Amino acid sequence: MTTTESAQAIFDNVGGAANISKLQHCSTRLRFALVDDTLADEAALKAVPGVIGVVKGPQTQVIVGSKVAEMYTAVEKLRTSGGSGAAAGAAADGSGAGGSATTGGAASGGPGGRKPFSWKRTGSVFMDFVVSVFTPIIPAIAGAGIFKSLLVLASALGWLDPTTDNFKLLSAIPDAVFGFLPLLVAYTTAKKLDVNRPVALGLVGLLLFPAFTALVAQEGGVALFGLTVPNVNYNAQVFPAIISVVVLWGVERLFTKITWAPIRTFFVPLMGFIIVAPLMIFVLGPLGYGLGTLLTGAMLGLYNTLGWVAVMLLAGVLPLIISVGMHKAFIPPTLATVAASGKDSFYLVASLAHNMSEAGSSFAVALRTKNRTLRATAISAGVSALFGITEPALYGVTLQNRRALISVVAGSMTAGAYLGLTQVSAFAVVSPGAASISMFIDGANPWNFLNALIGLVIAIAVSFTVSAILWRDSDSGTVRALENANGGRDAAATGTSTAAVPAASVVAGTAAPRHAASDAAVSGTPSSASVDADADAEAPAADASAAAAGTTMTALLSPLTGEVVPLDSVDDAVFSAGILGQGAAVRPTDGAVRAPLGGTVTALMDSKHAVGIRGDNGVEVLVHVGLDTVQLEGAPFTAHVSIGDRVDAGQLLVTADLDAIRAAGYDTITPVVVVNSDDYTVTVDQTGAVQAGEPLVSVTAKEKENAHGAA
Amino acid sequence: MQIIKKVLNSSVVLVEDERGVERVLLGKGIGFGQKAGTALPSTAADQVFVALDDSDHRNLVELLAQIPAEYVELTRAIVADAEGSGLELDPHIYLTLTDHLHFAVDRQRRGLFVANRLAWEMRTVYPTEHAIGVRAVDRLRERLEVELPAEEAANVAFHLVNAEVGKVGIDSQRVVQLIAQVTQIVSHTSGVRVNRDDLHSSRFVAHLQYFAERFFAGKLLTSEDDFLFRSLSERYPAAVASAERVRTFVRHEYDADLPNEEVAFLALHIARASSE
Repeated sequence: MTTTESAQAIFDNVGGAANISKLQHCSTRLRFALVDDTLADEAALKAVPGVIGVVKGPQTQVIVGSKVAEMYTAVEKLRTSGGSGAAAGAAADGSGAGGSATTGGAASGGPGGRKPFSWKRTGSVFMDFVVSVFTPIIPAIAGAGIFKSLLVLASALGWLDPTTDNFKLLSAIPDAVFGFLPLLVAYTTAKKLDVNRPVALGLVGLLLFPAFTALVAQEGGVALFGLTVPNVNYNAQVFPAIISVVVLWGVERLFTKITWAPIRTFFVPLMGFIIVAPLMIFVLGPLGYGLGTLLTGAMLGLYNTLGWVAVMLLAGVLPLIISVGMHKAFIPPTLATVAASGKDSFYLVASLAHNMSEAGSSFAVALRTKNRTLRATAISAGVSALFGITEPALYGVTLQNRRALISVVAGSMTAGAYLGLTQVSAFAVVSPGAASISMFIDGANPWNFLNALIGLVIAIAVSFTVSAILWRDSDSGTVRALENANGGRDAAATGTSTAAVPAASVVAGTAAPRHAASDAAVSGTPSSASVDADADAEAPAADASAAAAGTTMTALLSPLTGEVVPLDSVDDAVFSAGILGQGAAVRPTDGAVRAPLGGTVTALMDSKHAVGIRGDNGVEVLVHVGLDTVQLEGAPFTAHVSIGDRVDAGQLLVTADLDAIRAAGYDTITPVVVVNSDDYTVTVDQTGAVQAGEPLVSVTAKEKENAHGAA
Repeated sequence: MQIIKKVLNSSVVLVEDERGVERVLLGKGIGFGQKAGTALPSTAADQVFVALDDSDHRNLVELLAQIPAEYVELTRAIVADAEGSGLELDPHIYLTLTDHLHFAVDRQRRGLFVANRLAWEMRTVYPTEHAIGVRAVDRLRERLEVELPAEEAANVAFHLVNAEVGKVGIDSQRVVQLIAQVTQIVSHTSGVRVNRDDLHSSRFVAHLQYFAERFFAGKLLTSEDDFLFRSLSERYPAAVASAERVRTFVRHEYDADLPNEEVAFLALHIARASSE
């Protein structure tokens, strides 16, 4: 993907011009001040080629590395397009803040800064809060959950006797985590709101304190100044703690402001305890408990009404839900359900089906694709998904490729239906995968585990089969993007045609392309495409009399072995605009650079990254190895000729160390252009793989009258 | 009298004066042991005030709260070095450079390598700033024991150039990017060879620098008649052809038109540099 295309993708995924109130940049990042932060699709931004990372915060920052200036120019163009020529250049930058490294375009769209109230914004603030509170406790919950499930397994297999002290003591370990769940969320809530942590923990700790629980649970209950304290079991409840800490936050802020400084240290917490604790035991606690029951009830109700259909449907839409980050909304109710009833039969079960389907689909893609990079990605993504982490598979393989996505949905829904019908339940809150599979062990029902396993196999089998049948490299967004952006590694994996179609290869009778594209039709090559791999492509170029009658035609040979790429796809503003002439580019697999024609060496930079040759017939050709490689100051290049030397077509000019160039972070793609193309008609004859020495481009002198025709 | 509104870290506090104007104050240890709401103890000589005049700076202040104090100290040392070299910098550099350095180290730790493709141009066009950048990278290595790649010097230089009083409003990165692009076009279509240490080419690069700065400031040169342009077209057609390519490029990439006067000057410098 070129810079321009990436810029377009970034622009779209931050919400377009209407959503950008300010655009600035620093040395590696684009900095967007957005009207609505939630409209920025973080996942999609990360998936854009060229984007190294995304950081959300007061500004949405997109890390693009050294191309930031070009990206900024391109995005700025998109923002201000609608045509005034002033666009990127001129006055817009004058408004940048003095001295700041981030000078920016003028603010557009919406009043600077103040964000309008909207349900969407409230919703996203809420979601953000929920995620910040629950996500950090997951490792503890997951670890304890698996521990517990292993104990259940041990007991089911007869290794441990549940009545022994051994078992009871060991069980106490994970049980402690669940028992003290209110404290865990009290901590994370306090951290999120920046409330004093120990005070928050101390406050919520009341709910679990033996002296308190004993009083409340005693015969006849207990009353505080005449009011009976509700007898609620707060063990493993999350919402009472969260609500209480939120109220504590309000109390803390108020009193910190109004309290005389010298006594603040003890007075603020004192007020916190005095005010919030009674509120908590009378109102907030029962309220939270009720909320938890409601949520759990809703989840169960959904499950009970729709039954297995619910599981199947959820499994089917999970890829979509995860891609927008909304799957995190399922964590609190799932957590509450498992804490309250010990198991979940909905979200975690659907996840099992989904995770395994991602794995199956990815493995099938790895098997069927010919693109080496994608294959490597798919294999590692498949393994990750197998162990419960689906992001690599989702973002690296399935979301970008329709056919893979279809197979995932198919596998998920089939397995989801089976798991729903057999009423499989999960007993630990952890992402289902091969290592965590013990989460489905039910001490009371061995079939639960077996059905889970069967569901797993179904998911993998269905998704693998569907993916293997449907997959086409030619219909793959990833393959296309890789072949445009990636290095020569992929060039060997050809047979699949890229988007590279020769620009106006109108001249009939020129050498047939070496490979006829297998799937996609390559339009515009009227000559008989001989698929014979050994066809000596030196062929009839010189005889091309179909060319303008009687004028000389020069064939420029490819200086490198590799893959032909159209010049306008080269990710360099100067070359792709044809400023240095018409021609083509080669993505090399080998570093030997040979003369495209016979003539004199007229230019050889000190940095040896570019060679200019004037042919005997006046055609001036420039071969520029890699983009921006002048920066390397000659290190990876060895010159074999000097300025003024006479060279023959095919003679070795320079040797380039492609690995070193790539390792330094530069693109090896090599434009080959006719610098004086105003005087010639230049046509590109080759697509796909090319060997050094094969005809690449035909150059025909124009009639004198046409010397100023557009090149 | 300044009241501390928020202590960001031990070297940075947010203060408010009696008129309610908020500013950021930097000083070694200034935030240590201080609490929001107290009055600021006496103002020491080495403290710096940075005004907060728009929302972007407020955002940077928020970011600053999350950055360890040692980065602020490092920035102060770098700025002192720069001022010693004769540069006059806008105080906002304390915010932006600190944020940049912190982020650079973070990137390094995460293995996010970013090649700086304008490093050569930075060195050539802004050598003073680049030298300060090199020393900054050394300092960072000494103080924080993190080895940043040499190209980071160019990034630091970018920030310094942007902060220079007198260059306010200049986006040095785009300036250098344009210089790099024009150099590329010119070096391949004329005999101009741009070498770093060559006196002749340094005059050429200087012209490009001023041209680029004029371009982004919207202050391109024009003239009543095209005398210069027409004369050069006759005398130095090759140089003018090369300059015309630059015109085409600027039209294509930046959607802007170069006046004939600018094309003429460019051609003039090309002609001079290629005959030497």
